Amino acid sequence: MSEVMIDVQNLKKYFPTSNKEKPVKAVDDITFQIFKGETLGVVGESGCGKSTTGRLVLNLIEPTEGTVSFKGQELTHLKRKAMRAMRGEMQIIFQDPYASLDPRKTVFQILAEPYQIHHPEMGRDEIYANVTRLIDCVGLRPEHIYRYPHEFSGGQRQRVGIARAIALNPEFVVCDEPVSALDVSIQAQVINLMQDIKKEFNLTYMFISHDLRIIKHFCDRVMVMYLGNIVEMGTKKAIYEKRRHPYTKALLSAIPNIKSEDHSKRILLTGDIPSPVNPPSGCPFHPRCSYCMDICKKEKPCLRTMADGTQVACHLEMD
Amino acid sequence: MSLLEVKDLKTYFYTDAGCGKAVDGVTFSVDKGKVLGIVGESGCGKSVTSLSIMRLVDLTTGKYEGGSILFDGQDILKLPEKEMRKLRGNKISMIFQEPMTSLNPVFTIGYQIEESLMLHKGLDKKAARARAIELLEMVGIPEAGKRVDEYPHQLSGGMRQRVMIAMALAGDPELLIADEPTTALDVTIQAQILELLKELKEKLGMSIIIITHDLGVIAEMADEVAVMYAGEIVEKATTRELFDAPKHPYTIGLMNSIPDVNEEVDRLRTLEGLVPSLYDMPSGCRFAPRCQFACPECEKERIPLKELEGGRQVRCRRCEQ
Repeated sequence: MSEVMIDVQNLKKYFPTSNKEKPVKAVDDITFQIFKGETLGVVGESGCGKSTTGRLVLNLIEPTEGTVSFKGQELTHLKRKAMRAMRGEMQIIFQDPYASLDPRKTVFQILAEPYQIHHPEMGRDEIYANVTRLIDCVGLRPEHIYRYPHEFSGGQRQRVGIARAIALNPEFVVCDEPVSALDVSIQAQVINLMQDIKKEFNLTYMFISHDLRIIKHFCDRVMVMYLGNIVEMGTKKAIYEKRRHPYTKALLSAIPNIKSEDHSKRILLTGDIPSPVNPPSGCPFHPRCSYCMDICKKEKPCLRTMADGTQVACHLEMD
Repeated sequence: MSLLEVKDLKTYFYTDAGCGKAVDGVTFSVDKGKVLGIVGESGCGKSVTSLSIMRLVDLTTGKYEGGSILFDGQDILKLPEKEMRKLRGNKISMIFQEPMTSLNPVFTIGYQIEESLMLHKGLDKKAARARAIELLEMVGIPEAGKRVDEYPHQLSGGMRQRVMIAMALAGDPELLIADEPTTALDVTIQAQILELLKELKEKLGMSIIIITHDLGVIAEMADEVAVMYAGEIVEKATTRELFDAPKHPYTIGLMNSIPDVNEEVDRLRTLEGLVPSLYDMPSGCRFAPRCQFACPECEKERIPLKELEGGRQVRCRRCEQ
């Protein structure tokens, strides 16, 4: 097994609500690792805690309990200054590049900022050289650097967002729904770009998405989340072929398929995702699960490791 | 028989940037009880097409520059506004992408459905309420009798979209236009809503125009598909024909851009470049600048939509031979 880059142990994030007894359990006790050089896909529906997990991993928000370590260094209690020094090594690409890029700055100013903060010794010429190199890397043209974010199309803006993320040569990048706001033909362009950049910069990705087709294409391992919990985690092959957890089964069968006419195998879930303020007792998925047994209503299943290494949180018998 | 016939529809917008030809000569028809899918990316004119059918285009900048929209033989574009109001929300109704912004947050959902029933169907308050509850049950809202007094914010996204559908059904529409009805929803909820729409179509015998950027949704729902690009239909075929053998290079490119769950590829094949600006359309084939097969001939003049064997239509020079 290769080197562990991110180690998350028993991570919890509760957001307080007006009722002190009932916080929103956005992330409720999850443990996982991300290995050097891999792409871990995090998939789930709205409110499952996938974005919160991404922010916790980067220590952008403080966990309620649990720890996150980056290359053996625990981030959770790091001082502000020490954390800032780490930021260059771990970066994030946001969903909506229009909201995450300062509208009053030119692309040059946006991309120069990381160098000015982390490498104050760098002169203007060197920064300029770095920025033009970045712009070229993400497939934009040199004349683009004096433009403002609003002058770009969505896909180009996301390229600027990617350039910003890789400016400091990070080792680890969290991609939070990086292509969800883009048109399909542009999505493909950006996905390919992210693949190229991963190779060129030896990146490790945590790729958060609700799009199961893109996760399948892009990731090595997949973590399926539901209501703040990990319900299944394993290699892409194991997740998409074996589909052990009933939620994974339903989720994968819900993907609209353009190639076959057979939709009969679709598992239609009834009901909505419960509120994380008031999660169901026992297994969080039990009210929507067609295999629900008595034990599921009482006892929350732990992640069990299968013979092929896949972890599944379910009371059902499985290999 | 065709319920709706759109002929050479042109909807242009006049702004400081010039004349934007959002919909430029679109022709299609929808038969009774059938589902037509209109697919395309942002700015291709699919939403403006649907707004034109509802006559909801903002006329401060927009203008219907030509063509006709025949609904039951009557040209909608020529109807006086008063007549149009009778049709809209009644025989033709529409659901939108984001149910939270299309529902009024300060009124209960019951009130909003009743309003339409009293207006279009002439029901009194009591009958309207009973019918509203019935409609909510029809779209699968549990405990409809209780939910009818709730406000939009008390409902989940999927439930809100069900309410929108109930509201659209209030006038017993013959044509339902669904503009990206599931785009804002999670996949498992999307599957529920698509299932509901299919069920209602069978039960009520209405026609549906579904507008989406998602080819998967089209494959599930539509009998026939029109692919739009830069204000024009570039390909029209039955859903099976289109997915089995796409003809137009844009359709092919669009399909290749979506990773297939059943197949493994190293790299996605992409369409290079960007959609042309509405205000600066190429004079010839509008897709030519991004087309790998483009030749100088393509850029000379606008390409007509040509009918191939079996009735499918393609706007491409290569498909003529």
